[in-house]
Amino acid sequence: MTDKDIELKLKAAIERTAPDGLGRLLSAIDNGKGDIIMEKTAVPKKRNRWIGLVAALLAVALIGGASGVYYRQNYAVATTVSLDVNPSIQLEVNRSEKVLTCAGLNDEGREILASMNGGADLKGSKLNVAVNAIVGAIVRAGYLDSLSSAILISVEDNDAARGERLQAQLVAEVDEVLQTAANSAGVLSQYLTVDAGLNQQAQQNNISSGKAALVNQVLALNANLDFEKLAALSVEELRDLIKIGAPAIPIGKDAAVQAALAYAASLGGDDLNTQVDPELDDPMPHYEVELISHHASMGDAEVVVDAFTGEILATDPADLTVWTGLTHHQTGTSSTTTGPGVTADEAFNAAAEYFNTQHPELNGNFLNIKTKYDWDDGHYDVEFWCVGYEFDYDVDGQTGDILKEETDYRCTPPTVPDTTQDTTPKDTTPKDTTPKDTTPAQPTDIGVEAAKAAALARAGVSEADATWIKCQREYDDGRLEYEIEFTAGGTEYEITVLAADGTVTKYETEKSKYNTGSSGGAQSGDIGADAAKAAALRHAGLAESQVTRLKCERDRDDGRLVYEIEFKSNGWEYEYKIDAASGSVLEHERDRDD
Amino acid sequence: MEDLVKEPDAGAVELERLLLNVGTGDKDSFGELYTRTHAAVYALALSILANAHDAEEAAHDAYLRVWDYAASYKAKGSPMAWLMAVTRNLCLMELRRKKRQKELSEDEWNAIPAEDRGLGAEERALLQWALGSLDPASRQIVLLHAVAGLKHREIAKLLSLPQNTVLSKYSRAISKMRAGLEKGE
Repeated sequence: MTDKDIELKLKAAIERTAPDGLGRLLSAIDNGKGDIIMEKTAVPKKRNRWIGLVAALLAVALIGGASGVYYRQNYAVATTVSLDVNPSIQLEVNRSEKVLTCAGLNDEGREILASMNGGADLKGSKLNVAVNAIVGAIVRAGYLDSLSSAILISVEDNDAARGERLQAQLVAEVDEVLQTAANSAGVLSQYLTVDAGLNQQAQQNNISSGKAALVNQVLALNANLDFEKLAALSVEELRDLIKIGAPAIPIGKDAAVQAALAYAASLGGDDLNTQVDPELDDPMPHYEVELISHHASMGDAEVVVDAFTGEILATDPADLTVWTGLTHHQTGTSSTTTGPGVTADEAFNAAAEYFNTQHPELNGNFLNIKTKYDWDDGHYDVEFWCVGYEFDYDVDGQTGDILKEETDYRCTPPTVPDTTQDTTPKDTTPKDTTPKDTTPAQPTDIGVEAAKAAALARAGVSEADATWIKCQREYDDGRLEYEIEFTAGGTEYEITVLAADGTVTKYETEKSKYNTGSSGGAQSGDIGADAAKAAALRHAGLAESQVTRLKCERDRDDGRLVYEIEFKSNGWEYEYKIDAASGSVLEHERDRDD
Repeated sequence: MEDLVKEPDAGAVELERLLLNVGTGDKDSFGELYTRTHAAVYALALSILANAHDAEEAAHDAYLRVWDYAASYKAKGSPMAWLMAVTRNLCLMELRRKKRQKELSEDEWNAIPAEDRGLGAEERALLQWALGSLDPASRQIVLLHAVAGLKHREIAKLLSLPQNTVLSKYSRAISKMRAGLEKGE
């Protein structure tokens, strides 16, 4: 038997076994023109939520004010919730979890609330809806763009049970907003009892009592530090300071930017925009300041500033005079640049077009993370995130050609050294360049599935019984670990697993605060049962009149609201899981109905 | 379904024409495209999902996406590679959704459909045991070359593997399958 014989036999066998599904496909196309509703990005979802919010506010305006009997209960502050990033926003809510007041505590906070009539628009709305809207606005304003950024949720309430329940609910709400926006900022949360001294400290420094509590945690590590200076830092900086034992007060983002700009100016660079990212928990604590030329074609440069001394530690490109010299030429009349011939916008467009061609099933739903010119290699590095994936493109700085595409799944590190099952970077080099081997050395990591398995084993819970709330991989004290949360049998588990060897380093359980049961009709962010059924039927290529025993149940799966739909038709049994927010088909099965 | 893409150049031109027509909503072209390519799409899905039933569903999804997104296809002379990329991405997302990212064990390989499609004993052995004896990467390479008609260079690009790796894995896989089949005879 020759190689060719085997190939031909194999081909014939596959052709014989490949099912002819054209009729079913044409029926699906006729019924729904083949539309499959893909997961949408956060923006339309938030718009929908706003519509719901406006409706809720109108309802409140119509109904509100009718009853004096319950005035005290309705207008008394039961809980104070604060959200801190750099913007600080405080909400006061009544015992029905309706917002009584909403205010920005600093300029950034007030700016965020400007589009919501200074927070007045949120009065009367449910706390979770208001928090969703505010966090959405904070994300859109770019405060949580960097991977290491963090948001602090503080719940202040003298009723511990209610306070802790709200804390858990809000963490889940914020996690969902961030997940929808493909944002991986950290979420910190705390429950506090009302403390007059803390409130006074907070008011004096125009910060929330929650942030004041975080500052006090830093002071507990180093009492020599100054409260006022610490209060001016972001939540991310405070969190990192706690991690490294608060040895001193860092110079702060503004001072780091000033140091970087002064350095660039000394080399001839001017007219620059900046972005700054604190990296205080790095072995060498520093601020990364990105210098952005007003001339898009110049690409960006980066200056690394010592977090405590303000000293310039490094720059990218290493010789910044070349870059600053070029920006100088660009700002003048002549253009003598030897830099890229393609602008950053053109590079972005090229990558976006390639992405849409290669991944049409993702329907153009991506978040642009980075478009940066690499002076050493002469190409743009363009990064997109889309439904949990990271796409990295190298775009030729002179021709705009795509040199390389790499795909990675953000939450899943490489687990198995072999196989094509694609945790390895994808390289669809469209022309003959010599791609570098860019696979970085990975720290030892058992992978997300093994970490989950270790957590389940520790809890003595089977995977089928667990409802996942969170599985996040992150560095803590220099160690890579998985923070895993799930509920099972009315108990909530919080387990930390070392990525290196699966050792469980933290194990906590408490009575579950998550409602995993199903409930009534559609709500904001929920397409409703009818639309979910329609999505499933359209996918199956069937009309409702063609199916029997149609069941539809709303449930929560991995913290996400879903519809589980079952029906039978023509000897087949169908099962679907539909995303309640977007209507996309998450899972589907078709089995012979015995 | 008899004719897959035997001659990539001539076939590619015809497939490209069909795909562009599908982009305008032409159902006849969609049917013709399906007939010419569905064995290849199914083979690729099978090689990734390792299960005849899952592969059938994935192929269904892949063609729905082709119908939806053919208009966004840019004619570059490689319609089959585009179709394979769409299918592969879909299957990998499906694997991840099902959290079955770990290497599938051999006993999970099930290439025989539930319905009897008149397969002979040798065909059954080839699909189930010979292909089942290969590692997933080799299985994918063999199916992409023998059934989808992709060149080794195109497979290397699709799977992000060096071309030499594709060639050597292919050659080893065919030898292994031949040895298995001859031993069974």
